[in-house]
Amino acid sequence: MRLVTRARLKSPWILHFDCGSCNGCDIEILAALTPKFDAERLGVVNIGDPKQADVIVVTGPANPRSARALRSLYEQTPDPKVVVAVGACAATGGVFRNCENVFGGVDKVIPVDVYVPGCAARPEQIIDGLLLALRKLKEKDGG
Amino acid sequence: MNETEQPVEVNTVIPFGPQHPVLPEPIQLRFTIHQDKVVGVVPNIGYIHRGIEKACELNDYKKNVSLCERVCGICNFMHAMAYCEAVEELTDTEVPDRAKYLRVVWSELSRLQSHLLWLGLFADSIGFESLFMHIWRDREIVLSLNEKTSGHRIHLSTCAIGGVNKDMDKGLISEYKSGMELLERRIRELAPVFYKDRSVKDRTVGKGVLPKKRAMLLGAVGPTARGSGIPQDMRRLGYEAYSNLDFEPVVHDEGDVHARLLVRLEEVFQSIRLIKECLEKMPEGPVMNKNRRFPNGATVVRIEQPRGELFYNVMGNGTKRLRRCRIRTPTLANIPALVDILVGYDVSDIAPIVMSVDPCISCTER
Amino acid sequence: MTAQRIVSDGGVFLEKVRELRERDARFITITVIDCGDRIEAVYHFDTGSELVNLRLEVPKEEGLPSITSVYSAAFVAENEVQDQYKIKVSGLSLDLKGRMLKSDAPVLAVSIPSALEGGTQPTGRKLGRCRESCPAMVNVPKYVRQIAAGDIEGAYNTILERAPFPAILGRVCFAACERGCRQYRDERPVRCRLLKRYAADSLVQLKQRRERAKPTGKRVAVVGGGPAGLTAAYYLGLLGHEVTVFEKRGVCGGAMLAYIPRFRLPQNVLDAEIAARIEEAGIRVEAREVESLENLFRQGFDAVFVAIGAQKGLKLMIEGEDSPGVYDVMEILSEINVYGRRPEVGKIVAVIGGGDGAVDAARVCRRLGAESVTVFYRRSREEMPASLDQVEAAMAEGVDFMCLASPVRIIPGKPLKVVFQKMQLAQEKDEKGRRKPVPLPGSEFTIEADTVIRAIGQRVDLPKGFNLEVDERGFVATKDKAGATSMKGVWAGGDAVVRPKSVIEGIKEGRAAASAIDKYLGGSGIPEPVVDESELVPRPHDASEILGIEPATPKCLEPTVRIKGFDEVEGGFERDDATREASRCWRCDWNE
Repeated sequence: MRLVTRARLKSPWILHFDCGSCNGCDIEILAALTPKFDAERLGVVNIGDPKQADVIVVTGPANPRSARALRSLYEQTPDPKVVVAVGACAATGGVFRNCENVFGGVDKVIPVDVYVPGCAARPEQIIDGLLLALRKLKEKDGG
Repeated sequence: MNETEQPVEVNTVIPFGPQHPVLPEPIQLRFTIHQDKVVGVVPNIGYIHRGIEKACELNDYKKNVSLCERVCGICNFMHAMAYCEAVEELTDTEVPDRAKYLRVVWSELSRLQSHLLWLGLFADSIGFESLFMHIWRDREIVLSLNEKTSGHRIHLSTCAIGGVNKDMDKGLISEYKSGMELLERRIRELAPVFYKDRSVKDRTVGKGVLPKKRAMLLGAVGPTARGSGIPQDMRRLGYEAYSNLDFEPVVHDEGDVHARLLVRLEEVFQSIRLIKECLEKMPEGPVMNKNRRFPNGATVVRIEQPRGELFYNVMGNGTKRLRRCRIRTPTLANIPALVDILVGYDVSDIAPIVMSVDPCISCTER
Repeated sequence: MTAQRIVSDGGVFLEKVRELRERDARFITITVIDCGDRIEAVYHFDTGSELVNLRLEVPKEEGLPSITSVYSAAFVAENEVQDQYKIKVSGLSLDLKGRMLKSDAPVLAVSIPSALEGGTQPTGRKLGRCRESCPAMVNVPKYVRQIAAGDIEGAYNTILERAPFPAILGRVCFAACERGCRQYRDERPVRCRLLKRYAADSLVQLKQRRERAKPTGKRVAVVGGGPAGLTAAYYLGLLGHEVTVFEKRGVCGGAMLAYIPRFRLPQNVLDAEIAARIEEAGIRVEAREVESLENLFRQGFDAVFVAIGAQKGLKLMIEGEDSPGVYDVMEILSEINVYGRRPEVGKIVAVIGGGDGAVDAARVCRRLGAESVTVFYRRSREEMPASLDQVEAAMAEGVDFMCLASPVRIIPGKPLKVVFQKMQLAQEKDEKGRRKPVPLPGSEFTIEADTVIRAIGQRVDLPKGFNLEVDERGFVATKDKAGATSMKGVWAGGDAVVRPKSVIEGIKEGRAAASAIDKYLGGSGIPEPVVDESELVPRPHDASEILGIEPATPKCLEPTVRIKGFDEVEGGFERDDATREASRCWRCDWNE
């Protein structure tokens, strides 16, 4: 395994973007990083900059305006990258599927590698999803 | 004066967001900057707009409870409660006394959760990461109580039209009591940091000042208004069991970021006290009255959310679908104030000032 | 809730708002209710002790007055109102022009989301809009997907489940599926019709043979060998019945044979496909005219399907209509198609009518050497029933169109003189919802023409001995969707019922009747294909992959070349093009 790949898997940097969720999943993502669940002990670092991120964590259903921002973030993130859709509404639109300004899950906008279910998804699930994402990242990186 | 000495009259426009390390949610503020000072702000929202108001008109009115709950994940219980109160008024449904107390307990729990979340994020925004971690560790006490109540950490989903759909047994009540004691002890330990610590005070005192007169005119609500010396608190309207409880709104007069910070910190203790008082006073009895009618007429419900006054205007027409469900959330009311207080401060102060009104974009845009 | 009611007087309203400001009231928000052409706005204020509501009712186009001059904080609520109700709030201090909540521009120029915005909300599963639009409910999404995956044979079989003539439909169908496609809005629908043609054309060599069911011993007579009749015969034959088609021409094809010009549907394609189906289903074709249905029953047939078509052209009902040089559209077309003659049409041709038949006739005349061909239609272009593709192709070939003109009389002679009258569209609508044309007084004009072709509609020429009930316009009356008639054991379909229609609609009726006839004969009807869960292939991971595919366009003959003969105008897809085109599908049937 290449050194870079190894470093990447040891400490994945995540970019969190909310494209229309109710906040429930967002605060659970932060909760997953803070002391009780502490994903940071696994080397996960939340970073605000797409250019340094390996994993994009997206919450909420996509709407036209956030989709544009999301696409741009996705394009700015360097390869290899994996996308984790957290929560029911990021997967399918969830309770918001009937809302006028929502066009469903984020996979309508960018390719999604891992879907984490739940409304809101629990921190344990989110960490599990991240680990799954790392496995995919390893594959993508040719490891 | 020769040309080179003339001040450069060029304004820079900085987009702040939608993706920004400080913001958990996307909002874009376009700042016009003149020599490192903010001279103009244009809010650009819509990244989270889902159209819940419209969806409320299309759904069965009973299903709206869970939809309204998801207007905002942080204060979800209060949204559900406000909607239920409105529908109860339109259908003449009486809520049992015990349910009223339980609603207060859970809405104060939401407030605790929300304020602690905010205190942590605020600490993060001024670069005080260890404080952020401490507070979020303590916040888990509240979330585990949520989990013990309904099996879910965030969305309680306990509020229903006609009361609440979960009761508390003695064991749970004593867990709530011990949980509150523990939380109070932990936060008391941390509180002096907010009052006295220099690194906190340097970033907050005298920043983002919102005078009382201005706050009233701009329609500021909640801690933003109370931080400017306005004793405005919707709980004093006496909805649910608040009329039987003893409390005074927390008010600070300075109107700066620090004052808003202290209002929230002190409200944490107030909420803990209110929960304990409720658990003591709570009567025995049923928690739910079934309602079999369709909502008819129009009503306005105003309740105090962690961020301020939440306004629901629900109109029914005697069918299972509503005619209109207008939701005005506190952050929407605070946006004019936010735009106002940013002007005149440095770029480096933007983050704490924006955070100081506790913007909840998910609420704002619905 | 107490509300002071103020109706639509901006001045008084603002005065009230100012009063509230004096009383140190806090502005809360605006609730707007949509009452059709008016809107009702309730302004909520909090005076500290009570809630004050001001109600303002204004017409929508007038919009609301802004109160930001009094309460600057109202700009958020007012921008929101502009966004949600598309009404103007005048005098806003910070006007975001209806772009606060909703997006100003679509995410991408063409995008799955933008198509979803206007559509109905997705619920459950899902036929796909293309399939829903198709009269015969051909499983369009499935065969498109199969073509994308390279499974041509599977695609062909998928089409056969619903419609027996893929190659013909792939050329002449009016392609409701393409109009149903979500991408039609962006003027780049998936070309389902051409994909169907591709599937059929690439299988010419491969003998398609579907298993016939065990013979049932029942005999069915089908009167008329057009699309509806052949479809019914095909499905009945597959179900094991012994089917005899009575076709007076001796050659099957009906309207497909007689009225569709060869440059749209080449003879060899037509013949090959019909022959294949006849062989596959074991159909016997008898070249004779049926005079009485009772006779058929007497000959031992258990059921009859009547699909005799509509071959009597409607008359214009004007003076001089019977002059030499005035033809019916069907005469001209069948002259060429069936008998292989080349009628003399002269240099100048006037076609009267606005349907596909009129356009076909005009295009045929160009090929017969007419230098000036004009189609006269009494309504405007929007109402013209001919399909847009055909009209465009005709225009490219030099056919002129003149709308809002109706003939008044024809003066015999050489050349003929036709007097037209200009028309205008009245406001009232006819039963089909089209605006009625009314004559414009004093606007008569005369043109000269060597040939006048009438193409204004057809009626059924029902033989006397059939004894079937007819409706007021002479079409066979039916009792249900399957086409049961007034006589027991007799079904009817195709152009002979209700109105002349397209090939695919004829196919639909033939299939429905076949199913009903089978049930009548003790069978269980045509088995409906069940939804196979394995059809649900995984979603594409990247929408942009699909969006990035450019639509394929088949080659067409140049207009100057094509008017020289009756060669097929439109080309088909090559293999790569077809796969690419099929991959462009958004898979609405399982994505929604």
